[in-house]
Amino acid sequence: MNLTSSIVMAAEILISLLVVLQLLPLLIWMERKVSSYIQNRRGPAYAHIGPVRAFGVVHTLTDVFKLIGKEDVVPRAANRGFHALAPCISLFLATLTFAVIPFADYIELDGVRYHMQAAELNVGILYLLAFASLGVYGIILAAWSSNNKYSMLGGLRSSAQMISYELAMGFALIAVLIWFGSIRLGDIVQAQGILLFNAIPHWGIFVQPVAFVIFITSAFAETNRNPFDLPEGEAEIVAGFHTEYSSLKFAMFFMAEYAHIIVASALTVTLFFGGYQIPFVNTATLVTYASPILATILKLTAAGATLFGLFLAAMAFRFPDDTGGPNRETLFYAVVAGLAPGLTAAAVLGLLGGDVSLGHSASTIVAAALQFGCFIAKTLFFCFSFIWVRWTLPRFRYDQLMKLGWKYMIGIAIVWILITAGAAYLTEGKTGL
Amino acid sequence: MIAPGLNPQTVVLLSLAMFFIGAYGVVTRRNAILMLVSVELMLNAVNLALVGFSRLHNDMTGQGLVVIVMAVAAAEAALGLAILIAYYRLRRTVDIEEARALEDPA
Amino acid sequence: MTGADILFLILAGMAIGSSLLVVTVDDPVQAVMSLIVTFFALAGIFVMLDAHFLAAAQIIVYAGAILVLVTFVIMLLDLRAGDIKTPTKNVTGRFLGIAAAVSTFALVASKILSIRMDGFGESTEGLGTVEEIARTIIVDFTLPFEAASVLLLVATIGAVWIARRDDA
Repeated sequence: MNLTSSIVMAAEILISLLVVLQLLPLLIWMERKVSSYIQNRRGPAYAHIGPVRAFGVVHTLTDVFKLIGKEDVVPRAANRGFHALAPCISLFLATLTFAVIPFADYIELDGVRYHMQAAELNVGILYLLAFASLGVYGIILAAWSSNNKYSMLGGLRSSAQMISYELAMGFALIAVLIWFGSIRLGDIVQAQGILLFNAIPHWGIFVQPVAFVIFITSAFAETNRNPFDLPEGEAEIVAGFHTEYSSLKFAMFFMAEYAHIIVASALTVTLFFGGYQIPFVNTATLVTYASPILATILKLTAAGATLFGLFLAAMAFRFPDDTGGPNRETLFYAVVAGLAPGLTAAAVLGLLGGDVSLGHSASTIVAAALQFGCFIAKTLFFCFSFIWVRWTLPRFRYDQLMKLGWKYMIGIAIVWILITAGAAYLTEGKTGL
Repeated sequence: MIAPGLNPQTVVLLSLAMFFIGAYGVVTRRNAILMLVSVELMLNAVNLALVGFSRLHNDMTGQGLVVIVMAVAAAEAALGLAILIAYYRLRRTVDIEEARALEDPA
Repeated sequence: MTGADILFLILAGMAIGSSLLVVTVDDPVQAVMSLIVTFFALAGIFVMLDAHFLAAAQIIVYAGAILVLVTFVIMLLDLRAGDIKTPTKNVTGRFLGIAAAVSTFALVASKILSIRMDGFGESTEGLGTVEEIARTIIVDFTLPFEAASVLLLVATIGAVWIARRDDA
């Protein structure tokens, strides 16, 4: 355990923690914007810092201040300890789950290969199943400690729904594990790097489509998201298990829900969409070509961002605001999103002498960064799809929900496991698995 | 005496202590559900001893047995709770001091 | 005392402390939460004893399923803290009871500790991994494994049948 490996491990832990915590405000903003565009309106547009409205991102910040500033109401007959503990459990478990998700392949420093995964557990996916099972406690404690019939009903429904769909999720995962032959997430993602029939990448969705459908439906149910959000359906049961929560505790439940969405999206991406793999480009190729790729990126940024910044500045002067001067917000974007990155990239290129040549360690770092960016992009796409589905579909009735979970999903999942086992036996050794 | 730390003696002592605490819970508790919970504690103490000895002898038999014990414990907890629910519907209480139907009147 | 020893002592202290809470607190939900803490401490000790799969199984099965079932039952039966009190009046009786328990514990512990045991040596590579557990329960212990699955099926059906409402 020398200094380098300690630093790398600390960096991995920090990254896996920060991914969840920093994508959270982004996701809150995305929910408001996407839902409003689906409903044919503009969404948050007034909260601003100085002249900058930032398309409503500032609104999330003001949301935080509002929630912190509210009065913390705790019912008199409530169990104060558990009332405070429940939202902490929810958020804590969602953040911890990210530790086993690999967000890049490896970096090589001084010849030692470090895998980009905060915790390389032998039991892999079982860690995730364990935290999915424990997530029920946040809800149960919240419902029980509120001493309120609506909370109790909402909590019982929600936890019953969660444990029912845990089973379906487990069965879908078994099919994926049989096919990929390993229980470790790092192995599963690496197995998705090869090309199937030399045409399409060996992603989970192409080889396990039924498992994907079952898994993503269970993920919707586990995160209590529409169409499974009867436990917190606004018009139905007041607010379900978080009726009696206000101020920061409610903010924590709010954040915990989005954290669960991020984790569910990241898991779907890891199992079914190749994780951090950039399609058709495997890690060795990336490492070999890291220098030209970085040079291209720097040149494109230098040229494109500067031009974009000049264009925005021209627009700012072309469409003056009420006082006759240039539109200050557009000028701000011109500088921050256009000129600053463009000129910085140009300066870096100039300092490096117009061409980039990286050593082996630096190439692996650049490759890992590219793969990390790919992973974040895919995860954000699935978070967007969570929001998309929420504002498109009506919600299930409780008995429909239970019937779907116990009768149909488990049945289909078991049949699919049998099919997968047969296919894995028949194609043993042929697809390189 | 024994050295504090991770050695078989300490693991066995911990397992023994948890077993006795669980036994105390079973004997003392009046709430039938909490008696079941204490029985779960005793079963876990046994699991700990099995895992400790499996590690000592480098033999996986202990861990296999723990898997079976976990399955049996789950089955027993489920059935015990089902019986308690049925009993509650009949008697409106889970206090075992109130369960005197088969008591010897003498 | 290495770091592993200190960690084990912390986990053991956590396990004992929360076990004591389990058997003494009045509120059923608090007792169940203390038992969850105990299970977490035990899972940590399992990891230290090279039983990785069992640590995960402990959390999934015990903390995540059995105790959820117990909590559901407590909530459905609406058991509160003061409903069923453990009797605390008889101080002499309690003192004698605890003394008897402690002395029995000391007797059994001294007998067990008199057995000569070596310390934990190096464990074989892969002890307690998923592959080894799979080999053990499917290849070595096939019959108990199948019997346990039949037992679980019977228990599921039995529990659903016993706890059903008669008017439905």
